[in-house]
Amino acid sequence: MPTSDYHQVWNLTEIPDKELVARCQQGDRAAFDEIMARYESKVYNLAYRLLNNQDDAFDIAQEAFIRIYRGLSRFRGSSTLSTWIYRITLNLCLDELKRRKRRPLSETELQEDDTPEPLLERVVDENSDPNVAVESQARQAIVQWALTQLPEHHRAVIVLYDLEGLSYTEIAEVLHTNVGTVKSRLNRARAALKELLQPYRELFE
Amino acid sequence: MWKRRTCLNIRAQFSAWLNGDLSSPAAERVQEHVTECPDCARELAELEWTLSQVRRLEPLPVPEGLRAVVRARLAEEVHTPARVLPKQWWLALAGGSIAAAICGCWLLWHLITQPLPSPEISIAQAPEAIPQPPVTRNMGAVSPPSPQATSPGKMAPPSPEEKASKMAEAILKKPARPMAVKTRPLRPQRKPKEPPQRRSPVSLTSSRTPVSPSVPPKRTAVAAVREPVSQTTLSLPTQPRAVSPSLPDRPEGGPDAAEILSRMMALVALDTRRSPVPSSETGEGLAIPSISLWPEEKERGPLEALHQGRFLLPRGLRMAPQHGGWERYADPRVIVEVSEGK
Repeated sequence: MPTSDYHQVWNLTEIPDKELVARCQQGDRAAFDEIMARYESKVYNLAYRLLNNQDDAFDIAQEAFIRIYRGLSRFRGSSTLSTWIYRITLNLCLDELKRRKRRPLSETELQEDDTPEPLLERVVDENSDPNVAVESQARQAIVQWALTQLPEHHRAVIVLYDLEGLSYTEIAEVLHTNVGTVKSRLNRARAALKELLQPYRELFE
Repeated sequence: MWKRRTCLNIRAQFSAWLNGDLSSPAAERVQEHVTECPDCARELAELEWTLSQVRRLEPLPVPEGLRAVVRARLAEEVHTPARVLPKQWWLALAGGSIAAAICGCWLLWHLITQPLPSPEISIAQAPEAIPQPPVTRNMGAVSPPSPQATSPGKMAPPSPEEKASKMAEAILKKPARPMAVKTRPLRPQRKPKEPPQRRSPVSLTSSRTPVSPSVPPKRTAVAAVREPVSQTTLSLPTQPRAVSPSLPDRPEGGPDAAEILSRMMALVALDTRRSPVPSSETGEGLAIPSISLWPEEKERGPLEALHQGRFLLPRGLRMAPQHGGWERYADPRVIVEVSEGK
C-alpha cells in the first residue's frame, strides 16, 4: 500500500501548473519543488544560451527560482506560469549582460568574441563528454558562438522560438513587445545567424 | 532592378515561410519565385540549413544541486512566501521621502543654528587640563595628562572622570559660535602604509605650558577617523611625509594647538561621561581616546598640524557637532572637518 508521501509526489507530477501555483501560494514547499523540477532545464538552458557560460547560467537559474518563489504570492495568472518564468529568467540574463558590458572583457573573452576558433580548440582539448563525438561538440560550440554574436533581443527571440518552442504570442509576452516585433526580430536574427555560420559550413559536412 | 526588389521582398518572407506563417497566396508566390531564381533558392537553402543546425543544439543537462541550493537558500528565509507589498506602495514611498526631507532640513537647520562649546570657555574653566603639544617638530614621547598635574591648587585632585565631567559641563553651559561640519571620503593617497602610532609615537603632555584663553579660535579641528588608536595617550607620528597642498593656511589669530586639543579632549570627556566607550575597546577607567595627526602633518610638526586642525581620531569615533560630543561611526575611512561657521 503506497504511503501518503508517495501519493503526494505522484499527484504533484500530474497536476497542472495553475494548481501548483495555488499550492505554493498556500506555502506548500513540495509544490514549489515540483515547479523547479519542471522548469529547471528550461531556465538553465535559456540562461546558458543567452550568456554562453555554464557557471553564470547556474547562478542565474538559482536566482531566477528564488525570485519565482518570492513572486509567486503576487502571481495572478494573467500570463502562463511558463511565460512568467521565462520572463524572470530573461530579465536576469539581460541584467547580467549589461553588467558584463560595464566591466572590461578579459583577453580570452575578446579572442572568443572575434572568431570561434579558440572555442573549437578548447572543445577539442577538453573533450568534456567522451560519449559525444568531438565533431558534434565542435558544431554545437560554433552555433553557440554564432548565437552570442547576435544582439541580445535577437538572440532571445531565436532561442525562445527555435530552441524552446514558444509561440510568437508567448515570446511577445516574455519580451513585453508585440507579435510584429517578434517576427521581424526573428527574421533578422536568422539572417544574421546564417551569415555567421556559412563560413564554417564545411565543418558541418 | 525590378528583379532585385522582388528578391528582397521574397527573402524577407523566408523566415515566415519556413515557420508556415504565410497565407496560401503568399506562400505560393515565394515558392514560384524560388523555383525561378537560383540566388533566392540558394538563400533559402542556406537559411534552412542554419535553422536545422540551431534546432540540433542539444539541451545541456542541469548541474546537480541546483534545486538543493535553491531549497537551502529558501530555508534561510522566513517560511512564509514573500511579503506582498501594499497596493499603495508608492504612497508609502512618497510619504517616507517627504518625512526624510523634513528630517534632513531640520538636521541642517540644527547644524547651522546650534552653538557649540567654544574653546576659550573650556580653557578658562579647566586650564590645567589642557594637554600642551610640543613646540618643536621632533618631540620625544611624553605622557598623557595626569590628575595631579592638572589641578595643582586643590587638596584632593579630581579624578579623570570628574575632570572630564567638569570640562564637559563648562562647555555645555557657555554658548559658542556655531561649527560647520562636512565630511568627505578619504583620498586613497593619504592612506598610511602602517598605522602612524606604531612607528614612533610622540605623546603630548597635558601641563607643559599654560595656554592663554584670551585667543579666540578662528578655526577648529579637522577630525579624521582612520585607525584604531590606543587609549589615554596622545600620539603623534614623527616620520616626515609630504604635506598635502590642499591644506588651508592657518588663519591669523587662530587658536593655538593647546586650545584645539583641549577642546577636543573636552568633547571626548563629554562623550565618555554620557555614554562610556565599551570596555572591550577602551580598557578600564575613563577612556580618553588618543588623538593622532595625519601622516602628512608630520613634516610640519605637531604644533603646526594642530593649527591646521587635522586630527586622526580613534576608530569608531566622530565629531557630532549637534550634540557637542563624539559618536560612534562605522566607517573609519571618513574625514570629518570641523570648522567654525559663519
